[in-house]
Amino acid sequence: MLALKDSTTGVFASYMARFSGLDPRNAWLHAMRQRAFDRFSEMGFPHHKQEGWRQTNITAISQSVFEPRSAPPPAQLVPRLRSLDLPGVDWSPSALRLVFVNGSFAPGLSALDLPPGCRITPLAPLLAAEDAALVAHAEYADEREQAFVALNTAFLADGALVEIPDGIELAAPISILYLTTGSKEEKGISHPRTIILAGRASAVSVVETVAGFAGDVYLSNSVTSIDAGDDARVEYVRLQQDSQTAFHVSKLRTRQGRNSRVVAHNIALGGGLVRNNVHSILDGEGAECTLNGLYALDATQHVDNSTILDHAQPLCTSREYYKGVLDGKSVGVFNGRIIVRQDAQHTDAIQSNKNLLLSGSAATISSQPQLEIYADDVRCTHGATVGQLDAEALFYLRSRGLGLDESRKLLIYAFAADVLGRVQVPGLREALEGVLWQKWAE
Amino acid sequence: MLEIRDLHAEVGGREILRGLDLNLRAGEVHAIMGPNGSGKSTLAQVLAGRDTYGVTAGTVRYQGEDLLPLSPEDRARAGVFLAFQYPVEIPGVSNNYFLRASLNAIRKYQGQEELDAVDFLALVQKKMKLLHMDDALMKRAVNEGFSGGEKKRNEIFQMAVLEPKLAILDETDSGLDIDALKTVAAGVNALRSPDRAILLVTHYQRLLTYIVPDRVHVLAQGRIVKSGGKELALELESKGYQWLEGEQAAVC
Repeated sequence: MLALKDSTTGVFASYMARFSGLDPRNAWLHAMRQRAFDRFSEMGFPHHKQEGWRQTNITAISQSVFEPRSAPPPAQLVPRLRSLDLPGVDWSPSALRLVFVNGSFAPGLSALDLPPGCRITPLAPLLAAEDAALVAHAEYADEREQAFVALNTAFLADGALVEIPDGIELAAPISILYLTTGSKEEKGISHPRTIILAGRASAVSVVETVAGFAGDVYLSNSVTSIDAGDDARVEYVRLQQDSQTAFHVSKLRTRQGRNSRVVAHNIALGGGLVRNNVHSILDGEGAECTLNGLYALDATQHVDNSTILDHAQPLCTSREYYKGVLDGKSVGVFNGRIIVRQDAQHTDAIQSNKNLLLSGSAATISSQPQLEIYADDVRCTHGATVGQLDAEALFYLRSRGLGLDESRKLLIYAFAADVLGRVQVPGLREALEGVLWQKWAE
Repeated sequence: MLEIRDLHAEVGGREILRGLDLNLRAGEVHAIMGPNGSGKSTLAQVLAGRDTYGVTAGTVRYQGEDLLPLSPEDRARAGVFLAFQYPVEIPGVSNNYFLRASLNAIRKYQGQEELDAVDFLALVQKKMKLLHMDDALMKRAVNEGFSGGEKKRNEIFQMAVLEPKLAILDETDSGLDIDALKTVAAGVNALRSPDRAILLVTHYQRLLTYIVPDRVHVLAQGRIVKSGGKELALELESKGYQWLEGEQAAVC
């Protein structure tokens, strides 16, 4: 570990200066931030010789100064936003939409036609009011071990709360957009925080997009937590569309009650250096969790997905399907850990990581499953593959008149089709297919 | 339609075709028979443009033009169709999408208007009846989970939709039970026309009972060693391929 206090760079001084500048008057909030900042200062950023970080070197993050930038004026911002192809953001006036620019809620870009009883709202006023939901959920003891989560908590100022009361099923998806800006000279930073609380037997779909403009340089360091009550159903989509010059670190933590169902999709399309951490806790009998991921990389993108599926109770089911399409000199890392605790009898867990390396590319993938099983009556399987486009299939398509490029594109698309096929949010799968079709057409 | 002269082809440094000659005119159906390893499938793949085979000598002219420099897709667009011996499964791509993209690529190349979804559906339904196929097939992924017989039938169905000028059927009869064989044969016979040529590549005489060829050629060690009428197939069936060992070269 790299103790930041001993660092000779100006990085820590920058974080320290900004932390000192935060308003300390809200005692609860300030104490929580202070604990988090102290943890961050002690731990420093993870080092690539550290367990869990060996394949992802984040020196470019730990040795650069990132500071929050002011949001561009609406006259500039709106047309640029509209020019981004963001399939996860519903811009219609009737949508449930929360937009954040450089960490702050942008009411003018948002739309909130609130269904009765639900709270879908920015965090800032709730933090100020010491809202009970935030007191209970803004800080997690088990996440104090992670420097990036600590950093996010230390600078917690805004974000999104989605709270669905017991028994309410929300048909319309909620879209949340976190946009970050910055340049090479003035690198930006944001700490998006999303808290999703789904009551007993409720149902909700949330589509969270993290994005930036082409060429912008920034770090977005996001934390999302999902708490699904007994019998709740939550579909969560994370669309990562950062600029290829951006850095992105994310943490998704899910906790599930009895017989609840959570499907968490992670679609990574952008970002130069990306680390996604997922920790899913199956904490009630009969809970089902699906982690569904796709990373479509090219150029020098580096995307690391580290997931933990934590079976804490009996009779739970987990499915993890991650697929990667890698071109150029991109690097993919997949670490999939499954923990089956002693009490978690009759666990049914399947993990699969399949990768397609495009021909002529110098891309690399490292895939590592880790099974830790402490119960004796369980079914756990895992499999990882790395392959190239099937030459037989390519010839078959061409022999029917489809051109080489189109045939390649069709096969890549077919490889990813089952991952996209699991996305249930109305219209999103088709929109995503469109974005990927464009990407692979290049 | 198709003129092959002194064709030599190799794979991995091993010569498979060793001076093959063949002349197939529009309106004709020819059968190429031969023992395993004689080069039948190599010929089919070379004609379709498979790049794992290298042509080392000889010429192939299709409709008077040199076929060999063309990419597989351009051959298909110009009217060449290969019904695969082992049709490839392509999970994630529906038959419907695939076949419409294929038909429209060919139509575009030939200067015809592309078909919209409605016209395409009408065409497909007509052709499905011809091969007694279930409508649900169009929504399924290409060949995925199909039985051997269904895959072969799907090849002939594609051929019926794409209406090629030169169709090469590589061991289309293998893996078919007698009912499926009759259905497939009826489908092929329905496509016989004065402006289309069909080349049947087969190991057994069985298929030729239902698709009666105009000429039969025997391929052995990469060359045509004997040619004759449809009765040659029956003769081969009764005497076996060993009968031809020592026979002298081609009579095309």
